[in-house]
Amino acid sequence: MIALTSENIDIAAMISSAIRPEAGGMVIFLGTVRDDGIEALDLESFDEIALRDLKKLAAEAKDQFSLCSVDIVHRTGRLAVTEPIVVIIVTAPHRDDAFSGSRFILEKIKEYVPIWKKEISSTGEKWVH
Amino acid sequence: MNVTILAFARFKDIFGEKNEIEISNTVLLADILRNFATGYPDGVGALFSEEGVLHSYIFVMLNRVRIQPDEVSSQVVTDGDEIVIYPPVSGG
Repeated sequence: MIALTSENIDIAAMISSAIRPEAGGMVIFLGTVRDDGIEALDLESFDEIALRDLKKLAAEAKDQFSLCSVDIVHRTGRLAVTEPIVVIIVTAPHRDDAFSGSRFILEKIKEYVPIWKKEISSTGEKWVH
Repeated sequence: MNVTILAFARFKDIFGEKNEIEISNTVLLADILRNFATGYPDGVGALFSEEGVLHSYIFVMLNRVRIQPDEVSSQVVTDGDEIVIYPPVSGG
């Protein structure tokens, strides 16, 4: 599943559906809202392009690292401290490819997928760039 | 000709989310953005350096296709096109 959602992410369901008999390893990356003295994060996305980019990234990662599966779900909307921002689950026959594929996807998301964070605190709001 | 400009995140705060503008004197993407930005107090500084060069970290799309920074000044825009501008991303 590749998705953007304003709803809570069901991580357990994602893990269950990612299990593959041909996979010997599953890497789960869970990005969460860090308490940097903020009250919340607002996540904005350019939905059409962000989804297109995530799908392209998943396909690239599968090819490059021989992954069995890739699932990416990224939150939008307002999130409280500790809430999940993004879940990336990859499976591969061997762990090295799973670790590498997961990192590749995350770094590319941070590089160019059009999603932005705005920090909400008692002193105001600030875009994270 | 008429062009639509969409902005996201910090740029949406500066320019608004969607602008439909009429252009009569230029067809190059960088020139259109420069003229557009001059209409906003923080517009030019948000998009261009003091030397007038579009900041390389800005993402520009034309009809939902990314335009590389070194191609923005020579990219031709036609009637009905959609330009998208956004600042560096921070997802993940």
